[in-house]
Amino acid sequence: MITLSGLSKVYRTKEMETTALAGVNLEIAKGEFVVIMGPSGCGKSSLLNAIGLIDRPTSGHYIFDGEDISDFRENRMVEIRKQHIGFIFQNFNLLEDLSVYENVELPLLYQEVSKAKRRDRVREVLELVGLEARAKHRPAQLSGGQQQRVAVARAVVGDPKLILADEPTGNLDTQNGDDVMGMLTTLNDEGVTIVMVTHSPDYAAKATRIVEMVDGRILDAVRKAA
Amino acid sequence: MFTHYLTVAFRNIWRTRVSTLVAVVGLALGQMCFIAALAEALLMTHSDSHFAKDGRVQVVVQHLTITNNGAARTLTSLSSPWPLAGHIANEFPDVEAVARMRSYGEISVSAEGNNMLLFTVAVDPAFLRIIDLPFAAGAPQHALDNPRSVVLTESAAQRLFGTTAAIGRNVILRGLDLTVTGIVRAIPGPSHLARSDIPFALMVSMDVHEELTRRQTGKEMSPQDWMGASVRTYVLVPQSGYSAAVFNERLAALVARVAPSDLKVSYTLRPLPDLALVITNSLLGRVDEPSVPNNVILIIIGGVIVALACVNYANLATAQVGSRIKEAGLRKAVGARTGQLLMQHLTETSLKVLAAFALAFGLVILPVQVLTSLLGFNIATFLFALPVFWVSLAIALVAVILVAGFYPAVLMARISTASASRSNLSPQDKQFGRSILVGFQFVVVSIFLILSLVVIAENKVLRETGPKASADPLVVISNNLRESGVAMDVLRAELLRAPGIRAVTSMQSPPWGLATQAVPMLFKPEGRVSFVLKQGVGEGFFDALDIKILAGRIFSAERDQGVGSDPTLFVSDNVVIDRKLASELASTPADAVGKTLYVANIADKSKPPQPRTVIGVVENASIKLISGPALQATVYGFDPAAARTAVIKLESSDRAKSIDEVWSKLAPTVALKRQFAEEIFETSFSYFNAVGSVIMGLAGFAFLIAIIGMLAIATHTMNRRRREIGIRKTLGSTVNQVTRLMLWSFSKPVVIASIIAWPLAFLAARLYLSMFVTRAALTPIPFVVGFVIVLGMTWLAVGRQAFTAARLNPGDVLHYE
Ligand SMILES: Nc1ncnc2c1ncn2[C@@H]1O[C@H](COP(=O)(O)OP(=O)(O)O)[C@@H](O)[C@H]1O
Ligand SMILES: [Mg+2]
Repeated sequence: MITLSGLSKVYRTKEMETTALAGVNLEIAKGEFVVIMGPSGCGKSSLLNAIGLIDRPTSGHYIFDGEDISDFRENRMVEIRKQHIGFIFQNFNLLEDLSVYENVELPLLYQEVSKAKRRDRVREVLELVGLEARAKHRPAQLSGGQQQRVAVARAVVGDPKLILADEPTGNLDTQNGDDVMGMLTTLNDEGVTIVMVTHSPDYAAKATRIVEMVDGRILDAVRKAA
Repeated sequence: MFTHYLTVAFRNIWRTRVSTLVAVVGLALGQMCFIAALAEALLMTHSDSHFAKDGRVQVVVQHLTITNNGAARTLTSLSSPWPLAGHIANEFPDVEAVARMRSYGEISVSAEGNNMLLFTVAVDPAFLRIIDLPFAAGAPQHALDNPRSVVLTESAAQRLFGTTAAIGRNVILRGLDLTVTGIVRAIPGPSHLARSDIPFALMVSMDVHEELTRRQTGKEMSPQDWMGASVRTYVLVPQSGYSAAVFNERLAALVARVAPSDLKVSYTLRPLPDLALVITNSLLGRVDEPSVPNNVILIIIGGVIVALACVNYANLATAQVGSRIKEAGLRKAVGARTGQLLMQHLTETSLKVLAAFALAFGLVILPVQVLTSLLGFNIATFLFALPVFWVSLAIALVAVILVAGFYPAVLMARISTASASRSNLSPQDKQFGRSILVGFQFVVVSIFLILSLVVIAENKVLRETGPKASADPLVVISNNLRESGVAMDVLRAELLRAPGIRAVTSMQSPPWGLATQAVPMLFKPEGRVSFVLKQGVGEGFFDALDIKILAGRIFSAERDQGVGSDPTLFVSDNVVIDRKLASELASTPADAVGKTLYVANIADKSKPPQPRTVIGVVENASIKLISGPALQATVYGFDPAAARTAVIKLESSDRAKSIDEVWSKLAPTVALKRQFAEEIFETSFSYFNAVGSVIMGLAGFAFLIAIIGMLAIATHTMNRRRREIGIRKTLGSTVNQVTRLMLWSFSKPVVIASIIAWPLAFLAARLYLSMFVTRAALTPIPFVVGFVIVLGMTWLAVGRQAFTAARLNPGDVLHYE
């Protein structure tokens, strides 16, 4: 589904240049559950951002679903993001000003889905994560685990082909972490491709593949038995 | 989607309600200035609209070119020569009506034994067919068709007769018996015929003026006398086929044929509603046809203040974008387009701008309703009926939204999507952009502040040039003595015999009044023409006004002749000049005595300049406030005939009764028009005081807006720099050092802004001061004081913040980063 070749990302600030990705080659097939692991600062987030088209690589090639989008035109990036990709972040990233319902609704709003359809779909996914009773609450009124479930609901509401999760369990206790992990595996079972960054070997064990990174490079790809 | 924008906007506004309130108040202050300026500008260009007959009523404007000190200037005024109307009527059959107006100001009128001062004008009968006055009684269009007729306002009728049913009754004006043929109600709406300019109470037929002139000069009014009596000329142009350009061309051709060839003069028609603009221009001493008219200047000033408020808003909003980076990134991550974020932010700005507008509108329009009784019309009703008012407001609103909101909206929209996934966010610092925004505000503030200090200094100088409280009180009689049947020398002799009167003299126009006369003079026969202030005086003038003699002698009736019959030559053969003018002629006042000056004849250039001999030099005396285009120097001529304003020096002000007694003996049927010189001065002065208040008010507004902005930015910056402060303190910096560092970083834009503001303020101040006869010296003081005030206020605004920040416990800050 995704083919990255020679992808690199260099951050330039006044003082220095940081190479976050140094020529990454990676292929992700439809239906995979890929886990990215590696020490802090090795470029995991940068890779995820590049896959998710929320940051433009410095150089390299990117093929999404057979379409070469290596020129990274803004409009096309927005379109693909909007239609096919959902995000989950370590620190939830819910909008404080919006209610649970409105946070989940946001992607549909930008997809210009009609109001009635939005209502039905948001209800559906909130039920899925068990938060239908909290629709009117603000994020600040929820626990961390609940917030991350809202984030999961927001990631799946647009029916994406691909979900990117950057340390989604990093700020959660074991119970909540397990719940979120459960949701992700269920989604994967339903055919959604998942790429997740995690430090937890336990969760990594549930992946179909583990990609290890050091210093902006992929060390080794260990294909696990399905 | 729009609902979503609105919801988010409202919530965000609520969450940041304090800073939103600050931003909105700032915007509202700016918009208040703009609305007020717009209202005033519209009054200048839309007064009298209800009399304008869709642009068919036009007024003749005169453009007279004179050469002053080698520089040609064109003086624009509403006066036109007596013969012009006749020429237009004869040669332009397509013109439906043309009428002259001659204003007398307040003059003595009597009826049934009542004498009183009433504002009187004489008009041609056709005037009533050009301007539809609101008649309560009489034939609306033909009330002045018969000779010796007069139309009264209801309030004048009430005062003269005790009733408004006065048709057919008699009014006596300067000895002429007039019949009341019409009564008009109060003039509606903003109009030059109400309250300002020509607030007439009596409108008499033009034959009255001709008769009065005949009696005064013993001659008929000459249809050839181009530079003699000046009038205002109103024209009713045809309903169809009128083109201003074509008409003005025809008028130019006519004038070229009939006007004296040496006169560089031209005439154009201006629509009646523009009258107020022409009048304000000349009121402000802007007698040249200004390339930037006053209404535009007002709009520009209002616009600058509103721009200031916008910049301030942009500044605050830009600072806030820093706290919304995550939101913007996240929205993009879930599919928002750049344009959608832009719209979302602009929606928010629009809401705040609209709120500010509502506030400003309420704060301007509601209070001015109070003025209704003062103005005689409801300014809100006037403004609301003008489409151009609403269109201007709408344009201004859109402009404000864009100017205030575009920059922060673009910043917000351009935040990278990846920001959503970053944990430690330091906002991309737009320090440079913001410094420019802050700097712009302080440039404007500094200019206004310096200008107000200059105005204060000039007002102080004007105050000092006013009648001295310690000196003997002066009383001015402004009745036309000849018309009142009182001879100046008789009045003088009688007054001097009355108790408590120290001295009696006469001059051409009231001291400290706003009217000034200037005369074109040459210091050498072949020299350049300079306009010099002129004062025709009667006997005992310098003594009565306590003007010190420096050299030579002053006028005496035995040795000096008055001006002969030729009033165009203005000045007597012997002249007394002031120290200033003497310095143009010689190095000491004594050396100037005996020198010759020349009076240029601008009406007839074929005549050579007329020599005048300086017989004496006196101290500079500020008996006039404004000089217009003339040099700030005065030539005094002995001119008892023209010096018809009597000035009386009293022992004490309660002795004024003596004057009343003498007057009622000499002219029992004429109401005395007397004022203390002090009152005249106060009236003139209040005018400049008002100008000063406006500038100071604007400075205050600008200041407030800028300080609000500075406060908010200070809070924001201090928060952003907490880490830096922590590190500095860990490295051994003291609280004092850090406070100073913070203060300096805020002072920098203020210092740079002041340096940019200085030359601009200097030019503006010089322009303002050039109006006055006595000018405050333009010293560095206002510049320095203005700078100190701005800097001091900045420190006050940010000082607490800086100090609090400097006292931070380094451990606290660094720990959390
Ligand atoms: N916006 C940025 N500007 C500069 N350097 C960055 C930025 N984001 C990440 N980096 C640097 O790039 C490297 C990789 O970062 P990141 O992808 O976040 O690593 P990880 O997620 O594996 O911890 C790090 O050295 C980090 O400091
Ligand atoms: Mg990371």
